[in-house]
Amino acid sequence: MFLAKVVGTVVSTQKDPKLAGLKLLLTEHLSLEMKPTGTFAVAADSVGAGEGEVVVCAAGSSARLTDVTKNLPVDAVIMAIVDTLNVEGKIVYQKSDG
Amino acid sequence: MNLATVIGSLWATQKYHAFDGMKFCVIQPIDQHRKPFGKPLIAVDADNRCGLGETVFYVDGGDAAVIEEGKSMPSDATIVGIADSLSTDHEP
Repeated sequence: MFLAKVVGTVVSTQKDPKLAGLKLLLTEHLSLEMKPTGTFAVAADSVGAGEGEVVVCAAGSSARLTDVTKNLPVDAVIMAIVDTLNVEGKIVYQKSDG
Repeated sequence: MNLATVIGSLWATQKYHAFDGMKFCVIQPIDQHRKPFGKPLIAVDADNRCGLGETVFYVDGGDAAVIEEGKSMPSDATIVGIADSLSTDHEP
């Protein structure tokens, strides 16, 4: 899975009819130092993520294995919202309470 | 399956329900001489057994989604074992 930050929402009226009602978010990949990498992905949301949140995304055929993306033409899904990220014993990210 | 070293952990209370009770690890892929290569990634630790610094092997892609028959989860990297030791005649 890759680490990403939700940086926007995607609104689309013309799309595959199967995607109707699916929440699509624009995500930017993050490095483990929490730096934006400049790589973006449109991902379906299965956990109620919002803009500004740090999330974990599954890519490829695995992205179709949630209730909201089952059998849909989707190759990236947000499947977790990060509370704390610990790398080499250091906390590199902690979600604020606010 | 691929080899990796566990370099961190990730906590998420809000996660897709198929991951309930599971932990996420940050792993760095390594070669047969335990030399890191490529970019680190986040993997599911289905049995909550992995600790920092351990050498593990994981499955990736669509194969990572099914660890129990009839049950699938939206994972593209799943840790399936911990290596106690590695031996190879392959010279670096």
